[in-house]
Amino acid sequence: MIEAVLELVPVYGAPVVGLITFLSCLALPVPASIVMLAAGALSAAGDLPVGLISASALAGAISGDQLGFLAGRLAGRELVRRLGRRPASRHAIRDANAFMTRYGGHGVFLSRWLLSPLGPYVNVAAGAMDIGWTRFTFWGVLGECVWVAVYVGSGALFADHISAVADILGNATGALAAAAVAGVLGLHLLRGRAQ
Amino acid sequence: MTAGRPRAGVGGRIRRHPLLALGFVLALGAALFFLARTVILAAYWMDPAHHAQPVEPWMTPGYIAHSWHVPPEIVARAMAPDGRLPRHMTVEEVARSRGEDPAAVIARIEAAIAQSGKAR
Repeated sequence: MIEAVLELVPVYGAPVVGLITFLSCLALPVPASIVMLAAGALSAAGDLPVGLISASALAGAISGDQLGFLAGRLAGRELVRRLGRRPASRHAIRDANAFMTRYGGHGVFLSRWLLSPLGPYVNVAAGAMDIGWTRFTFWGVLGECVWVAVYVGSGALFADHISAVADILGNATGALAAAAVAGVLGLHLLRGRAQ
Repeated sequence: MTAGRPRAGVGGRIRRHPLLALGFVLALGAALFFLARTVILAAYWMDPAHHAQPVEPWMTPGYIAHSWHVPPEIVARAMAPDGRLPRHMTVEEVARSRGEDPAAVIARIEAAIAQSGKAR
């Protein structure tokens, strides 16, 4: 899978990179990080234009985020409203909404790059909750800029070690994302309502 | 000191929110798993034996040359010993256009890189 996708990068360039980042923002299992690293490495070798690659990666990621957000709005909002009325889930939904209102913007920003495995789910959750499209888009675009800059930049900078960079960044962001989830759930357990 | 509110403790909350507690344990487990993988992979890649990026079918001569710090002509010449030098073509494309197995082209490139290293 990774091999087959990587072979398309030097041949078709920017459109492939954009398509891959788009699909990855919809939680599809595509190798977005290694593709951006390879594109950055190929641009350092003079085979691909770095500006076009980055713009395409960014455009793909932002469109994917918007589609996820829209899906949350269309499919998730009514579900959240219904769960919010049920006694069993009322508190959880109220807490989730409060959390989103308070930390939603920074959550969206960090889940683009530092906690990137969470990104696609945050898109849908942000659409389903009341975070606001402008706020989502502002932090989302800012975060995707960091994501693309880090991966394309690392590819160019460490062109002779992209497999190593992909392995280490992939697992480190996985660890951070899981730790963030554990942190939020743990805080909820510790400080949760006592009634 | 803590007596008087036994049910308000962490144990009580875990009993009241079993799903939340299960999610917490699973997330913590995943975090430790990925942390261990990060450390193991970092150690693997720190080993000088694994330093260079192996030549793969998706790579272009420019990238291979950049990655191995050799002149691009050496890689291009190894890919196509006779005929026109490939510039933006991948190993896979060159192999296909020559009716060869990509592994054969990779073997020639690796030999040329080794040769160039010895010459320096």
